[in-house]
Amino acid sequence: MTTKGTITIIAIPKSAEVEVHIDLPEVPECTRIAARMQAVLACLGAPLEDIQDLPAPRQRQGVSHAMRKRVRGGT
Amino acid sequence: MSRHLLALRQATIGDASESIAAVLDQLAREDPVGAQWLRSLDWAELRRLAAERALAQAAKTLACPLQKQYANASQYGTESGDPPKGTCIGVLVGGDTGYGSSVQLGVAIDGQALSFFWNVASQEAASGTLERMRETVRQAFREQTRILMLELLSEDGEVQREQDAAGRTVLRATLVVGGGAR
Repeated sequence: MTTKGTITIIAIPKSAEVEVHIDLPEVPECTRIAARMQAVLACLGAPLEDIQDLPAPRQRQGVSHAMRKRVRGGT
Repeated sequence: MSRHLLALRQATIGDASESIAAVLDQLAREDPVGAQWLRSLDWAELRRLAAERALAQAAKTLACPLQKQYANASQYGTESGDPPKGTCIGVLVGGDTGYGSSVQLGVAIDGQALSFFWNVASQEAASGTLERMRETVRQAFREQTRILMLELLSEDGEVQREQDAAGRTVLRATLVVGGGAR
């Protein structure tokens, strides 16, 4: 069974930081997607460095869990 | 008044402190399917694409021309239009000294390594123009790598880019997980 979700990246103005929201029904899937996301960015030469976890989960229509991370661009 | 261009200089763009193999080996411990998929991708080509897009975005932001090659200026003492190392992806031309292309900022790729190369007229050396151009390219590169990442991970390769109410740039993509999804 497949499930749909979203990944949202919000650039924090005047900084190299971004806020990443991964909205999927299951936390393990959020974790897996976050790992892939970080691997892809590292392979592209723009790794992200976790600096803090933001309060989670958020409740959204059709989404029971969410992962929010604030990360800093490494370039 | 004569114009003097400094020798071409080069510096890396992006962070290549960790090898792609090491990154994917680490991912494979938790996500072997994802690591196998990512190993099949051509990262040199993807990095080149991200840099090409970043230069185009920076050219738009800075409202300056983007050229395919460094414009040779041997009359100013430079010997070659080639980047010191690697293959040229593109060159931004800027500067405001009344001499036209007084700052040239290029991006080159050598294998999987991206680098800046540049040349600056002496009249521009203290103007901060080069550093502003470099920072604009760096910011564009970060954004373009995020867009490319979302294109790779998303269901349909579509990425929405918008400004939120606070004026922040927001990138959004749809994911599909589980079942036969990657």
